[in-house]
Amino acid sequence: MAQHYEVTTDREATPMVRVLASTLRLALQRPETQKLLSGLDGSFTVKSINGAQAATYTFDGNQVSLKAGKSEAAKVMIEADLDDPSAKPKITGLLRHPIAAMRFGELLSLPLPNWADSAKRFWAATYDLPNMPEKLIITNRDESRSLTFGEGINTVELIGTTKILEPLFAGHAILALDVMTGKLQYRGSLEHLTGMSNACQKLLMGELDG
Amino acid sequence: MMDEPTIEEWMDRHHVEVVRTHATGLDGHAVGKYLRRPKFLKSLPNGHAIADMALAGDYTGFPHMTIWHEMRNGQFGDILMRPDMDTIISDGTDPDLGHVVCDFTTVEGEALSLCPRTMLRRITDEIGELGYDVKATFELEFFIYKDSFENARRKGYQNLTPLTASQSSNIYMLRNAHNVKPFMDEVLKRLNWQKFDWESWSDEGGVSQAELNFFPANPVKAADTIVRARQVIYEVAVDMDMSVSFMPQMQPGYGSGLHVHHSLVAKDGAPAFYQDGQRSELMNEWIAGILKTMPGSVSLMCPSINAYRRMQEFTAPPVTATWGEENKTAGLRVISRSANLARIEHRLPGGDANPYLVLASILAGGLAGHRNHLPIPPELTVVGWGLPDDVPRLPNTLLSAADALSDDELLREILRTDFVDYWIDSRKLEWLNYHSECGDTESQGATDWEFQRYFELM
Repeated sequence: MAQHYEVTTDREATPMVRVLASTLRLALQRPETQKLLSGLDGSFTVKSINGAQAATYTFDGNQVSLKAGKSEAAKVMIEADLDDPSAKPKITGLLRHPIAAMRFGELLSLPLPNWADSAKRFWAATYDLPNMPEKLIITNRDESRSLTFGEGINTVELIGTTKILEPLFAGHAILALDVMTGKLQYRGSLEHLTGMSNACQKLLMGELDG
Repeated sequence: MMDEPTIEEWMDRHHVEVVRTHATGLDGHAVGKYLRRPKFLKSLPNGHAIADMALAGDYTGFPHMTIWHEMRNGQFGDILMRPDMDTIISDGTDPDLGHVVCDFTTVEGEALSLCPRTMLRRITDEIGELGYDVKATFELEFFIYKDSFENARRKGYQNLTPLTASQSSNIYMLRNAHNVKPFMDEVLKRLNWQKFDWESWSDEGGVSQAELNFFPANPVKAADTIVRARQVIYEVAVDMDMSVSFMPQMQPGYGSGLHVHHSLVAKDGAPAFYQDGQRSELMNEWIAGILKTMPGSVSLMCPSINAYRRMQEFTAPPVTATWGEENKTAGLRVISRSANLARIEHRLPGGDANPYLVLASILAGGLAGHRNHLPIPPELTVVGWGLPDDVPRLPNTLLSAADALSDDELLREILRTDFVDYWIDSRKLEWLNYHSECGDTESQGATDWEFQRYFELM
């Protein structure tokens, strides 16, 4: 029987905590994620191998709380390259809690929702915010297909790959940064670039309903 | 400062062949250009063009890419820096150079609501329409090191060599001051040449920290003085192979603040904060308004990640929205024992704060208190630090301060909603930058990210 899990964060949760929490909330809609959680209790920490960013999950029944930083009480700490999921992580606590460590590791590599579904949710939650374009065309080069949202003269076109579009519309990235670093191609005005980037920022901060 | 009939005559008399324009971005950073005389003269009266990111950018000059404002002209367009000719001065050190303070305007010359200096002038004018002038002054605190900026960079801004005799926190020590004096002599020489109305300086509480004070002036001039003095102090440090920083909290103990004093006077010069041997009703309402808006104004007084490290109890900044007569632990230190002394000292602003925005938010609070006839709350007659938890504390993080400003309808009305919304988004961006690029939530002291971003630029 499916269990209802509650995922909570502090009011001032860091972006890393917000991203992990939103990913977990979405993944909990799948039974396999619920199964993963059913065997976890206590605290688990994930830390960036390149910097100070860290987050601690605490599992207590059907409550999952996420907080910024490491925990001395963590059963398992995984130090990972947050920018490169393929890099081998360093795991502390593996010998004492091998199964829990494996499950926690899986939890950290939950798949993101399909980019098209996320883009649809993103548009529904943001289209009427200030400085958004009237029409948004997104092209995924991997799939050679485009999605169009809204209609009107003020149009923005985004061209990218699944690897970039998925985290962007899941609220894990800021559009302007992806454009400026060449990860994403953009055709549109500065007003709409700032408007859409601000919408990404609001999504990341959990200020949107979508 | 210009006493000749025309700018050409003034430039002739002072041998000025190059003018450096100086405006202040939202984060309080100085921006401008060096213009040769013909170009400067040709640009008058509206001023020269500059990319809009000069105003809509952060400490590092990086444009705000997630915030739009209608002042932005097209795709990374220009705005203007309009010289305020009342502020033109000759450099004194550099025989050809002059300086002028500018306001940002649209390319059509219209006032910009995001321009900090323009906003402060507008609010001062609103108070003027009520029949009062404002007198204000800041206390500028900063740290000075023997290391050059280059050396400081190489050392990651850590373990810099103090200038003072003492290696521990103490204050007003003449032996410390004597060690700092050669540096301050050069600063004051340049300030004197540029006709700055400085009043005094002294050794301050932090190791190798000094404080410089100025005589009261109208709010815009008082804020102009601070942004110009910061630049002079920085330049003296560069020229003497030393380094300075206005970072609010570089090390444990005392940090750098930007305390601000102000009072109101009637148009005939009579003190307006004092009447019949006591605080005037105007002063009471003024205090009430500043206190009511104090949580919302924290965001403008403490604009950076580093500023909130300074908000520790028993280290000088206030942590509560309170007032008290001669109480330096309250949010507002009120002095009202005589007509001539009657004033309010606000002790919260950090050394990094934009002085135009600091004064604008304080005056907006006072104005709101007066317009709404707000009652003055009871005086804090005890120490304002270490109080029980049931005494509300001021916001002490960048995000909670932004939320408090967002909820403050009184400040929104006077500072204007488009400015407030832009400012809040810019603070969230600063917070995101910190957590994306550094993310250290456990450090009790300033992080490497803060030193790299703030030490030299704020």
